[in-house]
Amino acid sequence: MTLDEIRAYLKAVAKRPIEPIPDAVRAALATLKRDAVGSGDQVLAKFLWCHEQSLDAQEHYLCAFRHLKAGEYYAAWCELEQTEVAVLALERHKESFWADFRLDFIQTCTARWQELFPYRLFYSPEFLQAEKVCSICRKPVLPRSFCGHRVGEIYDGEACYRIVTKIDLGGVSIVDKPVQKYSVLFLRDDKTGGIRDQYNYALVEYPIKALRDPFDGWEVERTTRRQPHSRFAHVGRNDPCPCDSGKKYKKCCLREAGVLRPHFEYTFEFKPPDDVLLDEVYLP
Amino acid sequence: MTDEPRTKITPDINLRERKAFGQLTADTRSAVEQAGVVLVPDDGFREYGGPVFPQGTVDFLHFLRDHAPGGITVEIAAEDTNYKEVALHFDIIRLATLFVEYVAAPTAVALIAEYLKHRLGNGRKSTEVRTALMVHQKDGQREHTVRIAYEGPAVNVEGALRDAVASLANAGQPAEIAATSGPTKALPDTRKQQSLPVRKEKRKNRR
Repeated sequence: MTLDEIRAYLKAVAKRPIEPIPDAVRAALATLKRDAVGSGDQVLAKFLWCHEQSLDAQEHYLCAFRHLKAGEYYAAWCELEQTEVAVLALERHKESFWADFRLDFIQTCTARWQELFPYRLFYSPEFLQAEKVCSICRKPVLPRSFCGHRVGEIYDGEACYRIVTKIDLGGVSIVDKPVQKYSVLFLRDDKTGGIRDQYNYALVEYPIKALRDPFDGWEVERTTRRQPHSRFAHVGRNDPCPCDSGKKYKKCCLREAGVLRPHFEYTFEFKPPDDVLLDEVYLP
Repeated sequence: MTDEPRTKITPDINLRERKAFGQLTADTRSAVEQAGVVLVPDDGFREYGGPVFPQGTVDFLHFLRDHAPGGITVEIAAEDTNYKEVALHFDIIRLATLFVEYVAAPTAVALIAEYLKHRLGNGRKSTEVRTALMVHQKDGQREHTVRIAYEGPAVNVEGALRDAVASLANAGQPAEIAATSGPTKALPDTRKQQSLPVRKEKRKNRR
């Protein structure tokens, strides 16, 4: 494959369905990059790295969408994180390919899906990093003997990052804004010993049922709306108000026309199937 | 979404009085004393009692060296032999504390902002940052150091720190006239034993 053919493939990803041949594209990019590095053409090598990274971002995003469609939500969550990482690495090297390969769309939609997921708490390890090396030259990263390679920059067609070679684990915390989003807290199933997924995915299920293609446009707007008291018949007058205000029910929403709850309004570029269109989702 | 930006100004100790300074070799100490901007470690992390820096400090240091205006040297109060970084895997960018003379504080603020712009790009709106400046002031025979701590969106760090530095000049007084701006939620103070609460310090001066 030539570079032009690779670019045409990456551009066509949004005009699906096309025959997916990511492995062939990746192999062609690797060959071209090897030649570029061999001839000392750092600019071309970096340009090809951007294409590799764009391919990764597209592949992770498409994979996430497939998992969402299959109801494999945690797997989708992990792929969305990989998408986010791939796009973030590209952002500082942004050129015309950013729009051509739909990376703007992918970045926006990835963040949108992530916000709809119900995961709010995560494990988070703390490390004391005793030794780090540069991914390019493998020299130790120290303040007074610096190799000169900058994190995030591209050298010989590879991104520079740090490899931690020696750590001391300080502890594990539970946080709401983790660096690694995959470290979601799950319950354990006492019978099987495996993971029990205790989360409610209603906010994700609705748009994924409505979307036919990963590159169909959609938006979500967060508002609030009063829901009928009949939905909260199990809540006592002196119980905390279901609107989460912290007040008693009788001194809060019970005086109103309904209980004030978060409301999500979805807008789709293409009309969803009729059975989905009429759906209304109530969170517990 | 992230909280409002918060800055907090408290009295602090001079660089020379810090534990990490005493552990430096004579050469490093000399370089640190002559530098315009110095990256200062925290004293320990959990059971480890040595100097520690936030993750990515070496890269931050070299960015500052590359971008500091001519005449301002950037140093780090650490040796290669015992250099360690702490990775708190919480999605807040923590930057090493910068020690500066008062006249160099605006430059340090601009450098922090430039670094975050370079590192985060458009992500500055949604990313939180925790950083601090130690500003040293000399008023005749008296020397004072204040710590300006900031926690909030990366996009607001420059304005918040600039205002805080300006408030030091507006007060027309050295470190004892400490002020807190922004919402009252206090930042975690890693050196409670070394910094006096603002009100007590004011009261003490009146006597």
